[in-house]
Amino acid sequence: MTVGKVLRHVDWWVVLLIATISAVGVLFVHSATYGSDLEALARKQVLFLCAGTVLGAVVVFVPYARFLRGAWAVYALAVLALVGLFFFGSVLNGARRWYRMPGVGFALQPSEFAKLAVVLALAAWFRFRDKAGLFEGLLVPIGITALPVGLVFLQPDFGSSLTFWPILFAVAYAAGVSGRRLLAFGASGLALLVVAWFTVLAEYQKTRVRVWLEHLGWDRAAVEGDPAVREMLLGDAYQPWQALIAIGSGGVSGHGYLQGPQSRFDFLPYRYGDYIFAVLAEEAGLLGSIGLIGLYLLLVLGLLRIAVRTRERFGRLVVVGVAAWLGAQSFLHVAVCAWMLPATGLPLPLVSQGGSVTVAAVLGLAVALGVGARPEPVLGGDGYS
Amino acid sequence: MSRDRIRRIAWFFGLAAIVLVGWLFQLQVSQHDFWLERSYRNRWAFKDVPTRRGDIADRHGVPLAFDAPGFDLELTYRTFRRQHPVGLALHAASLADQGRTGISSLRYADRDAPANALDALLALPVRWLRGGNAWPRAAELPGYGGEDRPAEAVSRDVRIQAVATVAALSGVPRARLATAVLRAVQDPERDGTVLEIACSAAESDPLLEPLGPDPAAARVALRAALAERVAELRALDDRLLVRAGATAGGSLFARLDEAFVDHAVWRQLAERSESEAAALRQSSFWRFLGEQGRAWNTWQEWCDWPEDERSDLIERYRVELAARVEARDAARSGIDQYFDPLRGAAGDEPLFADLPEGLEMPRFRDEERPFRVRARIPHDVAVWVALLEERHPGLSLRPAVRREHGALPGRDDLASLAGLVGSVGLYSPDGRSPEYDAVRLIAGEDEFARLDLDLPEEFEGVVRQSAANAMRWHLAVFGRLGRTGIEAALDDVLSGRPGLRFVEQDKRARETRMFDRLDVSPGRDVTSTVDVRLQRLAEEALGVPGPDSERAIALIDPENGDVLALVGRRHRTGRPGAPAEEGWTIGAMPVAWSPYVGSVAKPLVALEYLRAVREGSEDAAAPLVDPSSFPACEGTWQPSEEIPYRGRPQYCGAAGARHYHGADARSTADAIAESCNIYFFEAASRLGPAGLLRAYARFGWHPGDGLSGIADGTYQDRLAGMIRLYGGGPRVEVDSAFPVPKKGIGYGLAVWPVFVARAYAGIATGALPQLRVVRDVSAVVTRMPYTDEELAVVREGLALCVRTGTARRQLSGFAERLRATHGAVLVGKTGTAEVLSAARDPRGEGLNNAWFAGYVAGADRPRLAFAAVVYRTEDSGGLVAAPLIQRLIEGIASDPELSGEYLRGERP
Repeated sequence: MTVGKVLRHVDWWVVLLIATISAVGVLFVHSATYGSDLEALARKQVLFLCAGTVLGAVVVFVPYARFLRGAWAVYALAVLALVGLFFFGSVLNGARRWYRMPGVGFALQPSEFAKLAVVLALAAWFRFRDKAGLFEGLLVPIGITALPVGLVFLQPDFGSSLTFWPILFAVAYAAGVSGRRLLAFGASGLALLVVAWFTVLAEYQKTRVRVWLEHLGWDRAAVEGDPAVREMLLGDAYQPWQALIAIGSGGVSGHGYLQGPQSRFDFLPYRYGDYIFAVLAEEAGLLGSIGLIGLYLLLVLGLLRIAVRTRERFGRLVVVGVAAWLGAQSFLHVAVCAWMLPATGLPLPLVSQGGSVTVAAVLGLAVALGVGARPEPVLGGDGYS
Repeated sequence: MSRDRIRRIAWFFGLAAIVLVGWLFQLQVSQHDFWLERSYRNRWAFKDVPTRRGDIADRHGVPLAFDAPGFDLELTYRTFRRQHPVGLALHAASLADQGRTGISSLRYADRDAPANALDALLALPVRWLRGGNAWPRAAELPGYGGEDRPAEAVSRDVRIQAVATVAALSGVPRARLATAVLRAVQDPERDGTVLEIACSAAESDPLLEPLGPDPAAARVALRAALAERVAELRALDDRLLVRAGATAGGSLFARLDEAFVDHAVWRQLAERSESEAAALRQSSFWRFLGEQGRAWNTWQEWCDWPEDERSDLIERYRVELAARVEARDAARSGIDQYFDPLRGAAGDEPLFADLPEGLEMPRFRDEERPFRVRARIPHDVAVWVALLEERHPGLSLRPAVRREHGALPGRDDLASLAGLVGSVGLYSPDGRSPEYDAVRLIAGEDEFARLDLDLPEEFEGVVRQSAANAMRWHLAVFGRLGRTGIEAALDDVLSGRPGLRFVEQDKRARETRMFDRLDVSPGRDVTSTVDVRLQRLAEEALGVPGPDSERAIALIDPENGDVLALVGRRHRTGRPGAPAEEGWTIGAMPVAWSPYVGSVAKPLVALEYLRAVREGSEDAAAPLVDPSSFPACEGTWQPSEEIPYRGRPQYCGAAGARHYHGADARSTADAIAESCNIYFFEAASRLGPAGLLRAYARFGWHPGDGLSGIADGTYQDRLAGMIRLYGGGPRVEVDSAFPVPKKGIGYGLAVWPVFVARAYAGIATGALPQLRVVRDVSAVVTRMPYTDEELAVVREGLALCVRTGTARRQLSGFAERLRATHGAVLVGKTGTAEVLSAARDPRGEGLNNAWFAGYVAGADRPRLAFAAVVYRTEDSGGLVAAPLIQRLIEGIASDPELSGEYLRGERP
């Protein structure tokens, strides 16, 4: 397939959405770091986007059949990279999540790339397994997903580990796995969470859950008068509470760009990364929030439209996986910022500042666009639907 | 099929987006105001600005009381034990000792303890830090018993503290050292001591290089560094002790040891005490303590009180509570509630009843809060601490203002006049509370209501409430109230008003803009009428009284009532049978149990009698005949038929010591000079009770009830500028059991010296001045209803008293010299009032209250009015009181400046 043909078939609406979301990201990373020592992060984010775009452009032109052939290798590489963290990773804030790249001021976070690897591996697994049974349709895919999830959880990075499961659900569902089985798996997953509470969850993770549950019962009187609540607001609940203040105080139209007090006056921690949506909601208000959520929804729908148009099964499942990954991570990020879920660190793809998350998202999207640019079957065998 | 499933996934994301938007709508639209307010609360702040309390100066500007900036030295023990190498070493070594043997004798006060502790830590075998059997007593240690694996917990804490000690002393990064030691602990093959491990790590890690590879050399260096810190602490301690004049106890090291001991039980008690303290603060018992002037702000203070004192307070409270509940009036409302100490007393009773256990809490110190090691440390010591603050984490300075008493004479009389200030606390003894003050300062004033707030209107009430809270907090923590003397009387003038700045700030409390402000109103300075030089002379003249002797001198300006000097020596409050250590007090105006003025009242009676003869009197008890027709004094007074007195014969002089004035005492002046009782028996009996009352009321010795305004402007129940005097105003016991003739010679009249001096100022000038101790109060003078002739007769009597009368032996020569050298005339009247009743004063039987009162007239006008008294003496006023005045005036005369001002009339 020629370059011109690929370019002709690329879904430019999706590209436009990606570009718009990325631009919004750069703007609000700049806003979140404006006036602080971290102002350079916005420029770094532009560099990451450029790097991602270059890599993505290459990926788009690579026939995706090669990804099928390399899917398991990529998966193995990702798992190895996650394992290697325990030996060579840098410790930051008590977690081993990064490989420090000497001399470039950049740290690589393998868990972000592992999501793409899981997408490819699951798509490869389901390529010839339409309506697979319990073992092939559920247990093996769970194993494929659980391995990197377990490694990410042990880093520990509970937030990232959560985003693998929507990929599994979406790809398996699209591959024809019984919905009832998936629901049953979801229910047993919840039961597993209860077990995890008593076994593997660290105290700080339990505390986040406890605080989240407690906050559902707070009213104004409790916030202003209950010493225990007040203490919590300054301690374990500080971060999500400040995010709520930022979002709620934004109102309909927000405080204006660069004018969000929670951001400007440093009350909102990790605002350029795990709480970037709170910055946007504070400065752009409900209208801006709806706008960004709408953009993500359109992106997900755009990707799913590509999947629908794709006749080849591996490509289709890859696109569904990418859509589920980015859609779920984005919406989970918003839900965490708005404290609909317990606090956890989860960046917003394309918007949050970070090299790995940005480049991985762009690569994932590039793979999806590459699939979309080749609507005709490029692979033989049972993959045709 | 597959496409349908993908479409369902799309629908799922669509629904998720709707849910998210719905939630955001709830936050950003429905709850917007709440979150916006939270956002403002995050960043708005009220910065209180302390005010300056006004100075009090004497009449010539000599400072008596003023604010001096200073510092308190505070210790935050938690920081000290976690960051200071001395605290770290002691805690780590102590924990290791206890973990192995169950006991530790390490104490800060022991000079060798820090070095020993460091040696022990450096020599700790790293295998002990793996837990296990190394710490057999770990489970028994406070705070470790609840751990799953106590030995491991002790290992961990000892390791962390040992590493922190070495890092603090050597300056190497703590984290690097901790990692090196932890690796050694985790490696079962590694052995050696903590120091050896550290030195070994220093070989490969450049950041640990300062430790060096040689353990012996490192030990020496670490010991030297520790010794340096200890020496600095000891130097600080020595300086504090020297400056405080202390010889033992209360030192920094003693305080550290107290905290060290408390640390062991702190964890268990902290939680319980907080809840107990919070509950107690809500109770009326706490208010009761405040009213007693015993309010505490921290649980620690309460715990520090002696046990019996706490029990006594609890018992007294129970009694008081029962009485209050019974006596409580109808509920008040509005601002009055802040003045009502009875508010809620009954309602709190059940709460209090639940608290006895809490009141028995063992004492302990909350180590997270800074506590004061020494208040108001000297400036040079503060500078020293500031310079070394970084080397001694846990020790800090807190700016503080102290009220200093300036050029006060050696004794405490003037200090008691100037008065004392005390912390406002949460409740003050006089019922004022910072709550009241905050309401007065914020809600009651328009200034803050005019804030041009750049905020949504709906938050205005929140802002004002927050402002009031900020002011309330400021007053509770920093507020000072005058408690006694001028400080109390003119508190409103002196105290000023704190200011507030309403600002926006970031998370690190850096201000970004100011919304508005309430400017500080500094307290105004107050000028006292007292002359420090005269006060000093008066104190010297008074001397040191013997046991049970009370004496006083009052000196005033006769023209305007300015109190120039006021001194008194009072040994006991006078409670019969009181133990010697009870009731010792100071006071500028002593009051004895029977402080009758005796014959110093006679000139007042003489004037009133002369006036009554001139003007006539409807309520006279007998015909008001000319005094020259009074019978001559033959020692005994038998009233004539026309006088309605049927009592026993009265004598001129005490029974057994009668004196006879004969014809010499027939004139009023002579009678005053000789203090002839017979003359005044006659005059008083003819005036009758009403006439006598008038005489005393005109001079402010009686409130004048029922005298149709005769005492208007004369009676004072306090000195202007003083909050109140001991026991209220002058006491004239006109309704006492004394017969009228006796009342005429000063029995039944309990008047303080300063009011006696005032009466003689009235005689000297013909006008009675209102007494005042501050010049900020206007002078008020009331013209007296006596003619110049009548006044001249009495003044002549006073002059004769000094020249030839009862004071002649002590003062005639001195008065002559004074006239010759300074042109000043000293006149006065003695008084010797027997302490008659053993029932009234068991210590006074057979004794007298000896007085001398009068004035000094300069060349042009009266300059000084005075009164001196010696209570409960065997001697007469002429013998013991007059010499006090002589010594005082000699002192004035010998000082050219003072004599020019007070004897010759050369005013500055």
